[in-house]
Amino acid sequence: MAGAVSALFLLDIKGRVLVWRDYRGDVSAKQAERFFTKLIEKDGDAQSQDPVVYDNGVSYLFIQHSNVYLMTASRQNCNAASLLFFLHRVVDVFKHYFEELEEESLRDNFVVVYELLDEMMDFGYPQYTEANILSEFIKTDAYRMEVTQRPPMAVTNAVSWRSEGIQYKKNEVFLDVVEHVNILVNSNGQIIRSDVVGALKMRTYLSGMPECKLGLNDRILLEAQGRSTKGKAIDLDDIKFHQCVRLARFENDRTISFIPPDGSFDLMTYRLNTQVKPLIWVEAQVERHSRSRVEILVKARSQFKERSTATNVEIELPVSSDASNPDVRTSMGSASYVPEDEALIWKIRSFPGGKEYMLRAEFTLPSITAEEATPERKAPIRVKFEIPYFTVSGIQVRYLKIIEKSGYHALPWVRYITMAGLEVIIENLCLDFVRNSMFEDPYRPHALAPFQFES
Amino acid sequence: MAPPAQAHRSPSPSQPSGKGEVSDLKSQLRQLAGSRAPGIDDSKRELFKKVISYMTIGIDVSAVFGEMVMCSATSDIVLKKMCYLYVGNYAKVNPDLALLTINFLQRDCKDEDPMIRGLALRSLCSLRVANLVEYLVGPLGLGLKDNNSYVRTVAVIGVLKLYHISAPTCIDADFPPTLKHLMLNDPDPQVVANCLSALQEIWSLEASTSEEASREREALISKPVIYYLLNRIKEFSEWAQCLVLELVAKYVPLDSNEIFDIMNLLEDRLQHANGAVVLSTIKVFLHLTLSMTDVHQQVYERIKAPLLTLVSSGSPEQSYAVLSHLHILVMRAPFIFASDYKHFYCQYNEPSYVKKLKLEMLTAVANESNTYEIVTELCEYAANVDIPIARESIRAVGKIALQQYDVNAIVDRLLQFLEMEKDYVTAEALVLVKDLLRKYPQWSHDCIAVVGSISSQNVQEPKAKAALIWMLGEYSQDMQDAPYILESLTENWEEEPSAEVRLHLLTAVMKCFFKRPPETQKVLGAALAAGLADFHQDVHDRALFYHRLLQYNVSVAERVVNPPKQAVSVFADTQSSEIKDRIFDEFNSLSVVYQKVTTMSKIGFHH
Repeated sequence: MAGAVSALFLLDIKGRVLVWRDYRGDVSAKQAERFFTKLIEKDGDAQSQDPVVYDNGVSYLFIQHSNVYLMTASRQNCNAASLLFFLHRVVDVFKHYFEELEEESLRDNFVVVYELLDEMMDFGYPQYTEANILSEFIKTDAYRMEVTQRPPMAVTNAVSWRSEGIQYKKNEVFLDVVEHVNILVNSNGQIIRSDVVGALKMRTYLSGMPECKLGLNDRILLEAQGRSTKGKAIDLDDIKFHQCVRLARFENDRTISFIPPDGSFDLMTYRLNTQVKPLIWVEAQVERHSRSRVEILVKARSQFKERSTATNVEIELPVSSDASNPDVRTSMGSASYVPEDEALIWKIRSFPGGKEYMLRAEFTLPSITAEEATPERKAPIRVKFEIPYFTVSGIQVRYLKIIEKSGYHALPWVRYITMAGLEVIIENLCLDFVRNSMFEDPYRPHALAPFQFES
Repeated sequence: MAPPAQAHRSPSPSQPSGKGEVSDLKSQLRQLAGSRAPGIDDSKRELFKKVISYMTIGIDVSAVFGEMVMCSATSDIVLKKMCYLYVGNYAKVNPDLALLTINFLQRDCKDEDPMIRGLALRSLCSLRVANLVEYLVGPLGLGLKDNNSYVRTVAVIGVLKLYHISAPTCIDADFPPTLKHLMLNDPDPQVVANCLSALQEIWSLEASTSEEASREREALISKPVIYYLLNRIKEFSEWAQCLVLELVAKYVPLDSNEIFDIMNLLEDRLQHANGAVVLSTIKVFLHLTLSMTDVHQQVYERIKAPLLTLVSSGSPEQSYAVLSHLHILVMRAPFIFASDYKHFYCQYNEPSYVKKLKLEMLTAVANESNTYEIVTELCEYAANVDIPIARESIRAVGKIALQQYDVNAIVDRLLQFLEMEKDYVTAEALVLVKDLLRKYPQWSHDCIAVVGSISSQNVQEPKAKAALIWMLGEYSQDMQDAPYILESLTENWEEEPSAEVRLHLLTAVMKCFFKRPPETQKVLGAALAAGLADFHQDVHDRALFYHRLLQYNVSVAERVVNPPKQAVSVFADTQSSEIKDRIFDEFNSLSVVYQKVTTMSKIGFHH
């Protein structure tokens, strides 16, 4: 048996039930609430709690989104992975309806919440979870009533993710190629791991039932067509498509053809295994001038071509929790000390290629240290930034054709952007660490291995 | 299509508690019920919303039941929906009200708007009142034949709901055969999928008492049904695809051609954006090829990339679920991820439940070629702020050491842990060093030198203390101070809270005595005396046993307490391979996450 869900709960940050839908009548909301509030109180940190827990015959699976928990309860041996994916889909649907899913928006929209929960799942079995299709069922909210009543769309419709009769004055498609790069660097400055996860995000405002065809500089496709692939083609590992893409067609001749849903969706995602050259290299030095005064010097250097520019660069430097009186100077951008995060945040709005910027910061440390040494904090330095009009993988959209039987002319817009995923540098650059090595000559600069990151 | 705009939302309900508000609502509703003024529906909606809000925040508004039903005699679908919601909530606890409701729901089941028919039917079947089931059969029968697919999808699940309220009524009305017919003929894929869900449940439950049902259950995984569903797979929603794929995984094809046909047909599902579909497809591939060793290996190669993508993209909860599945795969085929171990390196801000599984994966994929890198990485985590993760990392290093033949480098690392001077690191490392010595006695010399320098005062955790004491006893001839450390430990006998530690202390003193009698004799006397006076039964018994053994014959005692030992070649695995196989059979279920198996007879888990 595939296993059905007994109930779906929406809970507040303390684990109290906000709304719940009882699908099968075999679990109790009181019991679930009692169990769950205890669970998240336990370590004061729900983050450390497994998202699947068992209690007294019932399996609870939950995810957190802003200040709301979404949780299913089930008495059957259900498909855990599938349900966790389902819960995330529920979040997407709620976000489509309320802009943001949080306690406040749920409280304001109980009726719509119930309606959505009823249409997304019946008797514990997932039904429709496409926001576009659900809008056919959800009738609450006055202005929706102004729309002429259409009968609920028969899903016999071959294209279940798009309704018929959509009309736009101006037909436009926006295609964003977004790449996230994650790089992990160890304390010796070596890249331990790098991966690139990319997504083609579409927003379509097209009338009727448009047929779209997308051409990429995919090596396999270009080679199959006998074109030269010199320097321009790329190898994509493991591509995943939105359900609208005709997978069989792609299998046959690598053509990406589809009838898009209305509005925004992720057309495809891909992953690249190749080692990426770091786009920014950072070096740091820590100097201890005395028992209570420490200075750090950070150099950040961009290693990409000069015509590109990284924007919204944010470098997070871990700082000892008891450091005070920061005195920070930067050659570019601004830096601020955020004691609650135990970090110094250096922000550079615009960072062109081939440049180097510096930061110098001085801190005062208490001259008396606590008897009981707290565990040494080994936080990484993290950097986030975006590079517009640039992709690490070199993926290119060669064409995006839109054909609709009414023959309108649609405008495709394509943008490229590289975004810093999280960059983790396991690095001992941490004032705590320096203080622990107190036996060293305090005036000798304590140089640490260089480290780097990548957007 | 724009989502409902913020401007339209009603103000948050305040938190009224008293009956005043409810009776206010009652009179307002009563006023509106008879009115036919234009725009009346809008005012009604506002009131209904208020009622629903009160209901949700736990205020009993069952008193306005009659007024709600009266007000919903309208064609306004929004009002109807809210009313269904309301009656669904209160009918359960109030069967009298349920009877009232039935009438108006039955009428709506014949409404000309298919939306209303569907909603009314769903509400009707959700009432869960056993003595009203007779009213369900008629509307359900009509619903299954409705020309609108929405009504049919609702009706199919309605049949399942009826079955759970009253199985005989459902069977007598001949609903299961009707569902079977719909499943094989309905043009709407969601109707088909719901039929499948319903029939699987009904026939599985009936199978224990009816042979026919058990035949029907088997028929679901027969070639015609499977092929029929596979041919339509692309029409189904993502969740329905998972359902079908779960069924296909149970199918036993006749020959290898069939297997290849199915796999070729499903190949593209591995590229589906929904991870649940990908995982279900993987299950099908793995199960179909179980008997074909070569192809099975190819399947592992094929599924590697999609699985790694699922781990590194998406939410931590998804990574968690996928990693649990990877773990059972890697148990069966350790080689598959051996060169991809870097995907399991932990990231700083991942939640610890993901880190924990990643550590398990790193342990499982370690082999001769990647051990050095993995252990280096694990050592980084040992200095982590997150103490539980630091501990797990050290344990992982130990597990790898016990798996590997070349433990040279690892032993050095473990010994470094002992020198890190953090209590929890020392504690974990001591336990590991003890296990390592049991397997590789040849390392004793290096280890003992380091262990000897640890002050026993810095070791407080019982397991670690016991390990240290075990080593003191076992290697007392190599450790200069062993008898004196044991002596000071014995002096603090009274303060030692753990019986396990006291037991180990007794044995260690005995062993030390056989190796270095003159230095230990005094301690032995003290330890035996303390042991005999111990309030813990086991400690007392062991002390008494040693005492009598020594009285009887010292050389016999030595043979009993300190015989020559053989190195342990393999430590017992915590899980039998049979259980692992059964978890694999239940791929894509909670069993995988819990690493436990369901019992066949009932749904539930052994704990």
